[in-house]
Amino acid sequence: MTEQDIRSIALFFFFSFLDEEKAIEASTVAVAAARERKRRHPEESSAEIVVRITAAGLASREKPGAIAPEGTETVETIRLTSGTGWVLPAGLEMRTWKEFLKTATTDELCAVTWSSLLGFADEDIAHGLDLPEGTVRYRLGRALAKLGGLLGPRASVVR
Amino acid sequence: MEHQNERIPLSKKGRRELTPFFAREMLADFARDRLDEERRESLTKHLLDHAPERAELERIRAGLQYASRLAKTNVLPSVLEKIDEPETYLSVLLKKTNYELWPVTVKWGLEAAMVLSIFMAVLIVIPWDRAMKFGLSPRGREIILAEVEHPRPGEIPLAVAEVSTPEASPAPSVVPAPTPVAVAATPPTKPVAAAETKPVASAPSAVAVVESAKPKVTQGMLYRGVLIVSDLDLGILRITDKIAELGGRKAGEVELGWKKTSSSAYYHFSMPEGKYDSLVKFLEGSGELVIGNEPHPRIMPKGLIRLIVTVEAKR
Repeated sequence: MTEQDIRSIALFFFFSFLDEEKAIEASTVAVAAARERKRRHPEESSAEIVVRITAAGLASREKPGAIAPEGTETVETIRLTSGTGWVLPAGLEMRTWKEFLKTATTDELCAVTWSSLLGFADEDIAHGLDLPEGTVRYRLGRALAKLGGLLGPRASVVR
Repeated sequence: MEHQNERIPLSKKGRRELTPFFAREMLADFARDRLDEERRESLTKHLLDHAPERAELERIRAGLQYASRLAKTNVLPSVLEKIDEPETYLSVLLKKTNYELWPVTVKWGLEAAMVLSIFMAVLIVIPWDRAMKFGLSPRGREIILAEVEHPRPGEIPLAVAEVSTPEASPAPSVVPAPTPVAVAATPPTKPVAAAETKPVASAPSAVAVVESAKPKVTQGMLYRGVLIVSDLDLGILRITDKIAELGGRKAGEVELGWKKTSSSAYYHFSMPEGKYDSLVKFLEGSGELVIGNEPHPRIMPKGLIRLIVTVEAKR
């Protein structure tokens, strides 16, 4: 497992939970599982293993994005339950992503995260999930449309 | 070609056009520039006449743009190290119990309790009494190797090794007095009318250090005496000074003149054999003296005799 692989796993769980403690805990378990998978299946690429392990790790936990009930958060009070381990781009508002976590399915969340956030190829994602590439593209398209639809003419909120 | 054209109707414009269903399916690939030339052109033309697909494409592009910015999130190396470090039983336990969320006072209290427990365990487990016996305390481990008497002015020094044999020999085997070559002077026994002296052993009373060719002396001699004085306190002072003057030293645990009772004092000492007569003469001048000797397992060095004298106040 390279540092890039560990970073990918950490980012996946961070974007899934938006909670540093949960992300570190899940990442620790996933890294150990990925190492074991790599040892047993050296023919698989790192991206395939990361996809497989993170999908399993996410499925074993609660639904991501279960933050405060709707209506209780305001723009000013929104903040991530994270410390200083993750550095977000300056000026990027996270409310869109939070809403996306609430509305998207796990498949859509994973598709966007793997493809658009982590930069994995469709082929690797498909192999990691044992699915056709067309299915992966379909899920990605829906996810991106949903994510884009949440972006609107609202004020950007800096975290 | 004509047969095929009959089966698949062409559009009004004579082209095979994309349906909205297929167009929507290709929008994501179109936005990511993953389509081939033919499909891209076909979809581009489709979008010109179909606003819903165009809106969908805009949403997909906006989502891609947002995701590309979010992908620039960085993870600090400290977090990566934390994730990558191997888990130990303690780390898992701390995670499960949310140790980091505990109040500071509770953490300090727990740590103090652990330190105290370890300290108490060390105190209880380690056998400190044995450790003290291993040379840490010299008391009780004194062994008298030799007694060297410092000579007084004018006296012949007697430097012999004292053999401390506290165990009693079951059968005395003393060399007869007349036969040994190097024999110490036989201490005389003074019969006293008022008291009965202890009978001299039928065996010769001399204790001698014999030549190496002669049989070894296995038993010593002890002089016991009782002195009755009129003034006990004054007598103690005078007798103690006299004994010290004659070269006497305590031979037991107690000091010279230890007041055994309010009306008696105890003297257990050794002195040069040659001073015995002087001592007896002094004691006789101090009161009524009864003194004798008896065999004793303890063997004194050559030239020394051991005495136990009890001084009692006259009633």
